[in-house]
Amino acid sequence: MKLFCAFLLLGWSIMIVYITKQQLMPLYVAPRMEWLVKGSALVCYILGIFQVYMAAVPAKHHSPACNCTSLETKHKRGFANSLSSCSAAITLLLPFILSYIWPPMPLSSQTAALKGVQYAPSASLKQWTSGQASSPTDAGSSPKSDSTGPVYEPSNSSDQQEVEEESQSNKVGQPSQASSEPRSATNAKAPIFEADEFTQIYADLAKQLYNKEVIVVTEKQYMEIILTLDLYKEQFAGKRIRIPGFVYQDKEMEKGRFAIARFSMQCCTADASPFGILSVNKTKQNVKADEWVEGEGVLTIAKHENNQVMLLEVDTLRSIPAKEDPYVYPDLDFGS
Amino acid sequence: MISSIKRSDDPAAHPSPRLLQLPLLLPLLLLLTLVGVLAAQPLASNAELWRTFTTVFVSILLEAMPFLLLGIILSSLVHVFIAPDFFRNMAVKWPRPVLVVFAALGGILLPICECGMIPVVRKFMQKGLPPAAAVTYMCAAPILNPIVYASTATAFPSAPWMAVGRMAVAFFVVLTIGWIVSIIVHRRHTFLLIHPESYRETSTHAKNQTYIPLPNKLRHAADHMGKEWMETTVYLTFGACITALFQTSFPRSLIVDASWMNPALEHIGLMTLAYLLSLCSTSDAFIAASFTSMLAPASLLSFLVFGPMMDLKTTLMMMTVFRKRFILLLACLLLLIVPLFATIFISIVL
Repeated sequence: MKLFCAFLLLGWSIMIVYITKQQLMPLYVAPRMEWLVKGSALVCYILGIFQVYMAAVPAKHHSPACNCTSLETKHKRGFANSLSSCSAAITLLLPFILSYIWPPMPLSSQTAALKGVQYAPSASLKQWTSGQASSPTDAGSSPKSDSTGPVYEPSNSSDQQEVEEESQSNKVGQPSQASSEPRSATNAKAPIFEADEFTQIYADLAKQLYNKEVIVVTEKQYMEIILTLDLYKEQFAGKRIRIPGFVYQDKEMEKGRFAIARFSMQCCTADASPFGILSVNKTKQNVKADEWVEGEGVLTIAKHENNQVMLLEVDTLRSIPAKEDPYVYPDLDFGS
Repeated sequence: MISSIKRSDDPAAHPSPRLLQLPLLLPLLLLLTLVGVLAAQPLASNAELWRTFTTVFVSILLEAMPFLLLGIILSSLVHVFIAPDFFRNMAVKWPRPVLVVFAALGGILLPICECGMIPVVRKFMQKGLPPAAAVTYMCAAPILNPIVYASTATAFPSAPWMAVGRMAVAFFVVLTIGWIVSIIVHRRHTFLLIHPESYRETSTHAKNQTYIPLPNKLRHAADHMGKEWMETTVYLTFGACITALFQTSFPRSLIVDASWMNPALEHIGLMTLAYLLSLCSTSDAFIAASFTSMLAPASLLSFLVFGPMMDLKTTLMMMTVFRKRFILLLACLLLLIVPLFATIFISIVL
C-alpha cells in the first residue's frame, strides 16, 4: 500500500520532469503556471521518498487507534474490497497508461469546432460598456455615466448602446475633428478611435497599429491585437494585416472561406478557447485544415452567421512550420 | 477499529456493498456514453481525438496537482499540530450564525481552490468544526477570495460590477446554504456525513498525540499525506477523465443554443456547462467572457457562481466525505438559489 503510493508519487514527479525535458509543458499548462507544476513535482518526489522510508523503517511506537484515515477502504471486506482497490489502482494508473498509448498533441481544429471559434471578441466589450453606463453602482465613479446615464430606459439594451456610442463619439470627436465619420478610415490620416475608460487601452494600441504599413499580429499580443482590430474594424478596413495560425474550416462557412485561428490559454488546456480572423482565400493555393499558415491580405467586413465580422482577403499565403508553442496567452503587461 | 464496531450498530450508516458502488455507477454511465460517442467518430480522426483527450486529461491533473498537494499538506499539518478541540471550542464560544458568516469569509484568510478543498474540510470537521460552517467554507472559499476577484475583474474589463456581483451573489448563496445545512444537521444528524462516528473520535486519539515527539509527529503527518493523496487522487483522476472526455467530444454550442429559448433554461444550461467543464475558479471567468455577446449577464453570473461550488471533479471528491443524498440536495439547492440571487443582483445593478 505504502509502496504503491510511493510508486505513484515518484511516477508523477518523473512524468513532470520528463514533460519538462521533452519541452512538452506548453501543451499542458500556461507558462505562468509552470512553476507551480514543477513545485508539485518536487513535493511529490519528497512525499514519495518519505513513503519509501516509512515502508522500509517501521515506526518505533505506533500511535494508538488512529481512525482518521482511509475511511473508504476500511469498511469493505473480501471481494468488494479487492475489487474497489483494484479499480482505484487502475484509475490512478490511467494518466500514465493513456499518455503512453496516445501521446499528447496540441489542440486542433477538431476541438476548435467543438468549442466554437470566436471571430468577434470585442462584441462582449461593447455590450458590457452599455450595461456599465446604466449601472447605478458606478454612476458616481464614472464621469461618463453622468452625461449618458439618465437619458435612456434601462430595459432596452440595444438602444442604450447606440445612444451611448453616439454620445461618446460626440464627446471625443468635438475637440479634435468636426466630422468623425468612421468611413474616412481609409484616408492616410489616422481616424478617431472612440474609447471610454475601459477601452482606452485598446484605442491606444489601435493608434500604434494604424500607422504601420502592414499590421502584424504578433505572438505576444495575439489576443489583444485581434480584439483591437475587431473593436475598430470600420477604421481598420482596407489596412493590410499579416497573421499566422492554423487553418480552421467548418460547414457554416461560405465556399473559399477559412479561418486563421489560435487557441488562447489561461491556465491549462481545459480552458483553451479558439479565436481567429475569418479569411477568404484569393490565392491559387489550397488550404487544408490544421495546416499552419501565415496569411496576408486586406481587411474587410463581411457577414458571417448573422454577425458583422472582420474578413481578411488573403492574397499572400505562406506555409509555416507548426509553432513550438501552439497556444497564445493574454499579455499580462498589456495596458499597464 | 472502534469506529467499525460502532458502525455496525447504526443501520443507517451501513449500506449494502451494492449501494456502496452506486456513487461510481452514475459517472460510469456518463463515461461509457462519452466513450461511445468518441468511438463512433470517423476512423481517420480517431487517433487524433484520443490524443487530444489524453492531453486535456493530463493537463487537468497537472493543473490540479499543486493545489491538491497544498490542500493535503495543510490538512495533515492541521491534523497533527492543531489542538483536537480547537474548532469545537470556537463553535461553543460563538453563536452559529457568526460562525457561518466567518466561514463564508474564510476564503479571504485561507484561499483554497476546489481541488484541494476536500481533505481540508474533512480535517476541519474532525477537529470539531460544525458541519454547517464546514459546508459554507467549502462552497465559499473557491470563490470568495482575492485571487478569483482579480481574475474575474480582468476577464470583464468593461464591467467591474461583474466581479463584485460574483462575490456578492456567492456570499449570499453560501450564507443561505449554511443556514439550511445547520437546520438539517439539527434535525437529522446522520444525513450529512458518510462516517459520522469518525468525526467524534478525534479527541481521544489526538490527546495521545501531544506526548509524541516532533519527528514522530512529522512521520505521522507524512503517513497521512500519502493516504489522503491516494484517496483524493482516485476521485480527481476519475473526474478529470470524464471532464476531458466531455471537453473533447461534446459541442459547446449545443448548450448555448438550447439555452436561447428562455431565461430559466439559460441559467440551467450554463450551470450544467459549468458543472461539466469543471474549470478552475480562476480561469472560468475568461470562458464566461467569451459568451458575453450571446447570453444574459444574470445567467453568466450563475455560471460563475455555480461552477466553483459544484463541479464534476469536486462532486466525486465530495463522495469521500459526504453522503450521496446530501450532495444531491446541495446540488438542487444551488441550482435553485444561485439563479435567484444572480437575477436579483442583476436587476439591482442594471
